[in-house]
Parts: sequence; C-alpha cells; structure tokens
Amino acid sequence: MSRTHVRCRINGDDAEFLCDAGDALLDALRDEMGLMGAKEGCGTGDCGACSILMDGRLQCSCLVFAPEAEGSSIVTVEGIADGDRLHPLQQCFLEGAALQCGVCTPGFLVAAKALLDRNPDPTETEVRYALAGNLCRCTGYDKIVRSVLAAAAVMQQGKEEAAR
Amino acid sequence: MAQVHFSAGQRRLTGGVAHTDVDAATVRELLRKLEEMFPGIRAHLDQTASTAIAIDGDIIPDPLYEPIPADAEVHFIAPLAGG
Amino acid sequence: MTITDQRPGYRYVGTRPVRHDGLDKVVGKARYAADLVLPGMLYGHILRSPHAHARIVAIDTAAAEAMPGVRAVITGADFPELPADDPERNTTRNLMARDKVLYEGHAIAAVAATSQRAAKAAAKAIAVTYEVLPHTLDIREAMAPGAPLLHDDVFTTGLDSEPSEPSNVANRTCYERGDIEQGFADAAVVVEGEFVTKAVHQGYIEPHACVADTGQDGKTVIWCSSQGHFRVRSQTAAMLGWDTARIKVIPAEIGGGFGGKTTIYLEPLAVALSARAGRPVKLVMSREEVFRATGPTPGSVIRLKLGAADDGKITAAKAWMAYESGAFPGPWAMLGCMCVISPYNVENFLIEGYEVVVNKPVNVAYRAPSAPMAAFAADTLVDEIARRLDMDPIELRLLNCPSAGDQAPYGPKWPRIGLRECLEAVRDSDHYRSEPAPGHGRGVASGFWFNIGEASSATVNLNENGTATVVTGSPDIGGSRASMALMAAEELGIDVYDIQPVVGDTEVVGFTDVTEGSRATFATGMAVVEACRDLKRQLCGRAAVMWDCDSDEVAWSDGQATHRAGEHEPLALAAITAEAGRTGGPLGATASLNARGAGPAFSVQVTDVSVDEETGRVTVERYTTAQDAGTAIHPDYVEGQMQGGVAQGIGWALNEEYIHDADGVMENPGFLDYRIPVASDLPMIETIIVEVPNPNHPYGVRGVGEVGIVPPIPALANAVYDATGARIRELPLSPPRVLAAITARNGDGG
Repeated sequence: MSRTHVRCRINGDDAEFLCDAGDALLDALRDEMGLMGAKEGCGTGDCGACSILMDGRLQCSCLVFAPEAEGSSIVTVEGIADGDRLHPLQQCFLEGAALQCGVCTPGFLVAAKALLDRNPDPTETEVRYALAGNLCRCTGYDKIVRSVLAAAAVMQQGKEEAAR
Repeated sequence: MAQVHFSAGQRRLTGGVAHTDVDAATVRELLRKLEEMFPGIRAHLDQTASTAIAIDGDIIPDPLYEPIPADAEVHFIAPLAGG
Repeated sequence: MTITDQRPGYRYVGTRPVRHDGLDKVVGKARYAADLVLPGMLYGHILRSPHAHARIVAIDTAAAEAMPGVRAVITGADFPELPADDPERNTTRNLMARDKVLYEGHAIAAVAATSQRAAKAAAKAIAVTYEVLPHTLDIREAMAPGAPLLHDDVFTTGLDSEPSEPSNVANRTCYERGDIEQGFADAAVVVEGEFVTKAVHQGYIEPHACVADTGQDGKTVIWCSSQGHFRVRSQTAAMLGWDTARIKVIPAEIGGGFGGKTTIYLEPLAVALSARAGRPVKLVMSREEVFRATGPTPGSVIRLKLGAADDGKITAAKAWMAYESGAFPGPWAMLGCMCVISPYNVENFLIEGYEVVVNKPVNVAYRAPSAPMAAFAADTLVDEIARRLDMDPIELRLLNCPSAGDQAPYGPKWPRIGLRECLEAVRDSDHYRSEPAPGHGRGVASGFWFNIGEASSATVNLNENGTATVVTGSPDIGGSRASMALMAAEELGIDVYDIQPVVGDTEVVGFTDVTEGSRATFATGMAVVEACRDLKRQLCGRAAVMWDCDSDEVAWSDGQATHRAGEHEPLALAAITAEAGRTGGPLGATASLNARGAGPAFSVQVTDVSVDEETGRVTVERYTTAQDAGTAIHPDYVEGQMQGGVAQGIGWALNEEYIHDADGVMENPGFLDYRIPVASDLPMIETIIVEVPNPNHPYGVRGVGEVGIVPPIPALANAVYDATGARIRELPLSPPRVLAAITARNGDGG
C-alpha cells in the first residue's frame, strides 16, 4: 500500500510527512513529526488532550485524518510560545498552578488560545464552556479557569499599553 | 507491660478475650507470648498481608522487629492501602 | 484561605514558587511513557476476553505468529505459576489469564509487531476457544447461595467456624465495642438505611503505557507510567520469575493515577515480548482498555443504623458493609469498616464487613479507598438525625467530634487531629454563614482518611556552585517535587530555585514505596529533611576545616556556617561548596527510612445545589472544602489536591458508574458515556486549608492527597434532599434517578 504524501505548515514551518489514508493526524504529528506535545487520552474526541489549531480552528487531532492536513496550517502546543517568550497562557498556567500531572495541559493551552483568539475578554462562564471539551481529572478546573482569565487580563493590558 | 487489644474479628482466636497485658520488648516477643496464651493465633497475626500493628496509635505495616515501649497500647489492625 | 494553628516562621515552606517541572509541561516537552520512541521499537497489542466469565479451552497462536511483521506472541503459559500463598499470585493471574477469564477485558495473549496495525491484526488472528460460564456482577447476587463461583480455592476467612465450601465472599471483618442493644435503647432517634454505590474509575487522562527493552545480557529496562517504580520492579520480577536485579525501572512523567497506578498491568508483558523479539516493545492501552481492564474502585452495599440521644449525642451504630473487590479479593470492606464512623465518637457499635469477588476488573485503590461509600451512609444518616432533632448539622458533628486521646473505632487512640478545626472553619466560613439562594439546597458532610508512612529514600547532593540536587524515589503525581525542593530550601537556607528536585530510577535512589496514601510529602519529605540535616553537619565540619577550628565551634543558621564565638565571618553554603574539593571532597547525603507517625486526615465540606424538577439534573452552585493539611508546604498544590478530590467526588456522586449488559460486558467504556465532570459542570471550589501540624513530621505535614474525595457524595446527597425533600440512597444521583425520587416524593404527597 502506497503512503500519502502530505504537505502543510506546522507551527509556522513548512512540513511534510507520509501517512496511510486511515491514520489520525495525531499519530502523524507524534510518530512522523516527533511532536509529542499533543497526547492521546481517548482516541475518540472526548478528552481534548490532542487539541490542535488547524487553520485557526480548534480540533481534536485524533479525529482528523492525517491526509486532511494537506495544505493546512497547524498549531500545536509546541508552537504557542514566541521563541523563548512564553505565551501569557503558558506563563499564567505556571504561576496559577493550573497543572498537576500535566498530561491534559497541552490540550487546555491550545483550547484556551483558540478561545482568547476569538474572544479576548471572556467571562468565567464563557471560559468554562469553551474548555468543556477538555478533560482534567487532577485540578477540578478551578485553577485552570482562573489562569485563563488571568492570561486574558494580561493580554488585554498588553494591548492597551501597546496602543498608548 | 504492653496492653494488647484485639478487634472483634480477632477475638474468635482469643476465646473472646478483648485485651490482655503482655510483657514484651518487641513485636516478635509479643507474638511468641501470644501464641503461648492463645495457640494458633500467631499463624493469623503473622501474615503481613493481613495484619498491621498500631503501637500507641502509630500504624506499622511490617512490624516483626519493632520495639514496644513500656506500657504501650498495641492494636492488631488491618494493613492499609491508599490511593 | 488558610487557618493556621500555630507555626514557626518559615522562609520557603508555605510559599508558592512555580514548580520546577512546570515549564516542560506547558511547552509540550514533558516526556510521558507513551512519548518514548527507541530505535527498532516494536508495538504491542493485548488480546482480551470478550466474556465476563469463561473457561479457556484452547489458545491457538499459530496463525498470528505467521503474520507479516509479527515478532513475538505470548500467553499465560509463558509465565511461571506462582504458589498459592505468594502475595503476587493474583496480580500475575490478573495480568494474563490462565485457566479462566474472570471479567470482560481480562488479558489472554499479547503480540509484538513492527507496527501498531500489524500487532492489532495479529491479536485478532489468535483463536481462543471458550467455554462460557455463568457470571455474577452484583454483590448481593454474588453472596447468595448457588451464585456462579469465581474461584474454587477462595474460602471465607474471618468466620466463627472454618467453612467447608468455597465462596465469593473472601473475608468477613468485624469491629465491635460497648453494648449496642443498650446504645439503641438509650437513643431518642434511630435512623437507618441501605446505601448502594456502583463501581467507578479513577479516570486519569493518561492511559497506562510502558516501553521495555530487554538486552542479550538478560537484563531489562522499563520506562513506565506508575505511582511507584519500585513496586513495578518487584511485581514484574514476580510475574517473570526473575531476580529484581535484572530489572531497572525508569519513571516517566505520570499523567494522573489517584491510586489506579499503584499496581501493574503491562510491564511484564512488554518485558516478555521484548525478550522474545530481542527488540524494545511499547505497550499503550486505549481508553477502552483502561475502562475494561484496570482500575475501578468497588461498588458497595452498606446497611447502617444510627441511634442518637435527644441532645444529639450518637449512642449506637450498627453497620453491615459489603464491598466488591472485582475478580480477586482485596482489602476494601476492611478499610470501609475502619472508616465508616471514624469522624464520630460512638461508644457502642457493631461493624461487619464482607469482601465479595465479582466478574469485574480487579479493584484498585482510588483516593481514600473505601471511605467515600462509607461516608455516604454515615453522613447521610447523621444529616437525618440533625433534621429529626432540629439541630445544625455542624453543631451535631462538633458534639460528636473525636479529639486526641479518644479511641478510634478501629482500635488505637487518636493522636492530635484537626476535625474540630475543620468543622469550625466551615461553620465560620462566608459560605456557611450565608443563606442558600432561593431554591438551592445545602448539604454538609465530613470525611476521614488514615494517611500512611512507609519506606522512603532521598539523596541530596550539593553542587560546587552552591546549588543542590534532590533525588527521591517518589513519582510526582501532584506537585511533590516542588514540595521536596521547598523543604530542602528551608533546611539548607538556599533559594528554592537553586534546588533541582528529581525523581530517580530504581538504580539511582534507595527503595521507596509507592506514591499512595498521601505519603510522598510526608514520608519522602522526611527523608529529604534528614539528608539535608546530615549535610548541614557536614557543612559545619567543612567550615571548621576552612577556619582551622573545631567543628563544635561552628553552627548552621540561615544558609550559612557561623562561628559560635564570632571569630570568623559567616560562610555561605556556596563558599563552602566551592572549596569542597580541598576540604574533603564532594558533599552529599542519603537518608532512607520507614516513616512513622502519619497524621490522620479529615475534611469537612459544604455545598449548595439546584435541582431541575423537570429533568432531575443536579447543578453544583457553590462548594467549599476545609481540610487539615498539617502544614501546607506548597499551598497551591494543597489546594489543587483538595479541589481535585472534590471534583472527583462530585463526578462519583452525580454521574459516574460502570454499566454492564446482560452478558457482563461494559457498555460505557469511554469518556462519552462514562462522563467525568467538565469545566462547565463545576463552580469554583473554595478551599480552606486548616493547619494542625502533625507533631511527627519536621514541618508538621499530614498528607493531603486523599481525604478530599470522601465528603462530596454525602454532601451532595444531603443538599439534594434539602433542595427537593427526596432522600436518595443509591448512586449516581443522575437525572433519571433524581427525577424518579422527586416523582415518588410527589406521589407520597411530599
């Protein structure tokens, strides 16, 4: 069986990989691209640990066929920081102790980025619903939600300062 | 003298005795003396998989060589598991 | 909020630094077991039983072995049979079925192949002939005469006379004190009920995973996700019949455990496959396998009767407690018996426990194992007493609250405990002092868990630049590395970020028991402190060499050596480590100990709920938890443990349950149908850290991991009653059940 050649952009770089038609994008990212940040918690789109942005849209990469990535632009947790400068979400997760075991953290960061990209000033309820597709069994979500709200505030403040 | 207490489940091995005083410096000595008093009890109490010992409230999972302070209160209890 | 009894001023303990392992976790670099890839690595797959109970008549692996890419196939026949009295015998028979499969999902064979797909296809090609047997899933049914028997060599222990017939009841436990007839005769109020709970899963987000690489020298290296890699080593050795010296276990980052990763499932299989194939083998479970073959904590049936005098004093308790243990016996009923009335002083009681095997996966600890079901019964009935006597539920608990010197129901006298302080903290909280919103119901409950000590080791090495490396054997499942660094910083007087906390593998650090029983920060922390104190003695000796004086003339304070008589300027730690090569060589210390004096844990919680009377849906509107931490080393992660325990308890109370079809096949082995709480299901969880220091720990630590999961079930059940007038004694409090209870209440004219 011949494999499919896929060309796309991943975290800002041109990328290409080979895959079988039935492979999940999650497996291609992990096994072909060596990007181990996205995790498989369920393989059925229920836990969100494999969350990525595909052309700006939040996706469970376990539910995307790898060939569907052709021509798309993908962001994984590895691509959220600006070089050595952490994204405010990453910094706030660290300072707010929003992670315990950390296995769901990449998915939460990606999902939270998707939220703040489209809604820079969410309410607590909006954060909770935006993250409802991501399971965390350690934290009870309290510190995650607080950290996302804190990151939103930091980013708003940054914008205001930039505007002055 | 250590005050040794038995749970209700253990009392079938002591003929209903709920507590007794034993002069023992270590758990090993205590088990030996209890066996003399209640033949057959050691085989039950000895199994580390089924018995831990609390000495003055401190639960010790595998206590054979443990020293017993004078006048300590000793309870044979279930070994603990945890998450 | 933190309520502190009294404690000395600490510089680092009680602060909230960013955890040392945090950065890797927010940039996707933290390495979990499934992330490991080795050259030449094969992928494994496990064939599992489709039947709940069946005799294995024949297994034919020939077709699988002949398939392309297949490098090894193993079955139960490839592992030695352990003697009946070996403590790991049941573990090995759980990992690979022998003559019988005992639950749907029980492993039968495993394959290693060059790709995941090839391994899966080969497993499917293994032909197994079964003789299907009748199964039993329900405690009461399994206990009844004539029930399908799981084991013909299990005879009930703890009975008054030796039984002659095998049974599904593995053990009877009994605790008794005083005169319960008299106790109930003295009662003005008697309440009783039967409480039923279902098996639930720990639900860690990371499925079990490991990689084993077995060399031609007969040694193997295992990378795995585990709460205790030394237990992985000993259990793997037992199953393979190997000496432990042949096995090295390297702990990967662990993606949640909650008790579910205190035992093994995959490692000996991966080693055996790797040994046969001569290549590394990775085994990763699917979520479905996690549900079908690992974990659950027991379902239970508990009958409890409580009596109380008209002043609210509890006079008598009678309990009959049956716990499932899954396919092999466990200690679960015994633990339930020891916990059920522990938050109360009761002079007269009779508590009986029954451990029952059923055709479900072998039960494993889940955060304060067995206590939540027991609390469901006890704290629901205590709530009924409070209502019958028109007393405040916290005042009633304070009236019956044990304190140091009182005798615990399971035997020993209580040491200093913080239950009273937790009750008072909730009573005085903004939450409790405010009225529930109109239409909301409020529930209160308390919970107890032992906490344990056990064996721990730590090695602390000082580097030449004045920094320190702290190596322990405790896998970090909730921030314990940060706690170790904080305690070392406090001892040595150097900055917490100048300390690198590391979890060492089985060959670089001394034996350490599993991270369980809320013991890591308590017991392993004690080893870290002991090693640091040894180092401080050494540092004083080196300062004496540098000053050319007697070491008695040197004291250690605030991160530096000082000359008692003031004849020399103090020497900072870094100044001494810089000269270490000249003053005697490297500075390092190791401590290994059996930690004694674990401090019992209590939690008291209050919640407000709303109940949709048309759908039966319960919404948690507000939640406050108070818990005695002893001392909070890193308050963020103490709060995190408290909040995580509450969230799991809420899931257990409202949604979670194992559901089986008539054939004993699990119907909801995925997160879509086994629904754990998501962010939009929960409110913020307000925490009150109560600090009643444990006198047996250098910093007063009690351990905080477990007790938080105990009160949520009765707190929510009591709140649902307060909101609806319907008493529900069976979990989960899911919409259909709550709706049915509301309907029945209406039918009763309530």
